[in-house]
Amino acid sequence: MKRLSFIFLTLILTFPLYSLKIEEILKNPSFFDGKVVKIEAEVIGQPLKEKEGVWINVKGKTTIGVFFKDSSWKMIKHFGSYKEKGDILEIEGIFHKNCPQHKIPDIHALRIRIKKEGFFKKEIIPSYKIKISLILGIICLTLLGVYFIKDKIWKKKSLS
Amino acid sequence: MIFSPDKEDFFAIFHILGKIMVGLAFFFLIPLSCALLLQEFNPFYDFLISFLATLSLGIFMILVFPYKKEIGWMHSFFIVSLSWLFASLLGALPLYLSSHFRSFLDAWFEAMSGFATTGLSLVEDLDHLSLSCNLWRHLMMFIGGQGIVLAGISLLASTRKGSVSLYLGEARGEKIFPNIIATARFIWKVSFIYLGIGVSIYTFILLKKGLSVSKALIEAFCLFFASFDTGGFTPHAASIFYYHSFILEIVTLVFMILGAMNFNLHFWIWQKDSREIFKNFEIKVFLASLFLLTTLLYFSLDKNSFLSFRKGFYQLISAHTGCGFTNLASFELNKFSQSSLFLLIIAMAIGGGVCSTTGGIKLMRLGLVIKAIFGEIKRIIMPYKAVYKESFHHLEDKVLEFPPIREAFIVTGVYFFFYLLGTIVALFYGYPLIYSLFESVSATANVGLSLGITNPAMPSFLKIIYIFQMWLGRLEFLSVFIALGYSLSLLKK
Repeated sequence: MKRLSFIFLTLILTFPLYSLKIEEILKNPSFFDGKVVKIEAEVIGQPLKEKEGVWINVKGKTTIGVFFKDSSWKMIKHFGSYKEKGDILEIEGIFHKNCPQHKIPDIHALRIRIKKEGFFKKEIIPSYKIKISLILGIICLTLLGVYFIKDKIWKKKSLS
Repeated sequence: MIFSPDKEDFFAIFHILGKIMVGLAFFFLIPLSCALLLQEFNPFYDFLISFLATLSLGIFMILVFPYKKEIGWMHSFFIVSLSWLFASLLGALPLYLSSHFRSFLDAWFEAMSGFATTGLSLVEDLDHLSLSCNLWRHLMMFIGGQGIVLAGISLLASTRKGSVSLYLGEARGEKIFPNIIATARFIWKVSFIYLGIGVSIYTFILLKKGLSVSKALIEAFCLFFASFDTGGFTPHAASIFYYHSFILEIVTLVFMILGAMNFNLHFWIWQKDSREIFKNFEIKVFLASLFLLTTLLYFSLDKNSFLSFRKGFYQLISAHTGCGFTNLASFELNKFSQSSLFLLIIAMAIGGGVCSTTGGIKLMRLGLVIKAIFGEIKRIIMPYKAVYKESFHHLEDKVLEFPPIREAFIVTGVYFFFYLLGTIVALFYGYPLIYSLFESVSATANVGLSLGITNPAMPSFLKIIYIFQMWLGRLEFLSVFIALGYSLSLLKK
């Protein structure tokens, strides 16, 4: 019974019950240093390889790198970019204010879960952009025409 | 007698300005092609609109304002000042159309920051910005770093007579060759050689990191433009911290330092005497200042040698060269002690070499001011009849004379005035002193490091002040002051 309650207490103390925002952790890094944190954030960019694992950058109001030693990151389908909305991940991992391995603030992932799957964004071109391009194109060609005619007249004048 | 311009003076100015705008328009074709290749159609239209608008405006100005009068010094300074204003306003067009900026003012701020190679940014959700638009942000740094007008000088035959003043008006204190066209072309040649080397190295590192070829190549261009031109924008909101790569940090350090070196020194090392690097006055001032600031920073940080190097030294080089890259997480710079921040402010305020892409007081001027002060003390100590002359080595042995000392003191004084101006305005908005000073020096010295004051929600008036500071700082005041005087002389008529 004692052992069971010890395990239960440890679990409660080490695993937060709700997800934090990255900025909440980074505002008070000393408090969270070395502790298991649970964050929810969008995956951005691309996976970045390293000798012993892979970096995934996640973003809330600010960005932090999450280090994966295993291949669990491969479940991520969408990385946030211009064309994609990245997966929203729920990440449980150990936060380091100054990681002993990487010498930077990071999170070493223990578990991840895709909370909301990302998607490919549909690019809609507003019609006003096409119209303005056309109008400016006509203006530009007209001005170029006038310029070349004027240039020819100047050259003829200077020759005569 | 005060020079009083007439109609023909202004016609000549706007005619040349029109030609510079035509030149600028063609730079839009680079991100436009990139957008087309990457099938980013919205940015494609943004760049098409910007290209056509800039080209039309340029041709319109050439047509409406005939070139009847040869340009002189006054015209050149006016042209330089106006071309930076026009370029930043037109360069802001695709940024504003991208919908990643709250207002046109924010986009203008970004464009001025780009052209002035500052690196302060008001972009929102940078990580979802298109690659082509990101390329444009960085390309602006390359164009601005080389000099908007410098590009024109290499091309415009009709402005050859005024080209010396146009060149010097863009805050390049020295000519490399007696012929200004040759000087401009040499600067481009050096830049393109470094571009080739830099992009290859960055691409290799990014490919090793696992980036796709297209992404690695575009980000390599962006990183090169921002490091060599000491700009400081990055393709990601987390700056260099995003890449988690120590090697990349080292490479950026090398290019930042190369970019902060006097172009004349590059020429000397490449084509005349490579030993100049050990004798050069600016290099000596740089090393002395770096040694002093690093030592002080080491004691003001947590005294862990590796962490001090990776975190403190990187910020210090970034500040000293006016680049503005950071390898810190968002909270870390704000957690620096006030003494550390003050050391970074000093590094930012000094800047790099004369005739480089950096801003700030510059190493040469700092060296001259210090030499002049020590020279004066020695003169007082020495016997009354003793003749004493200070000398220094910059490409050749030079005797310290009064005109460059006067210029150094004046420019240093004006820089301090504008460092204070931005600080006071930010203080009135309620920001803490050290933050206000940090941000103001960062804007005026075209650095780009930020403690968070620069953000889309900051007061509009402060944005305008920073735009003004970046513009003035990049052109080292003279061009803008002359342009203002030139405009005021019209009112007196």
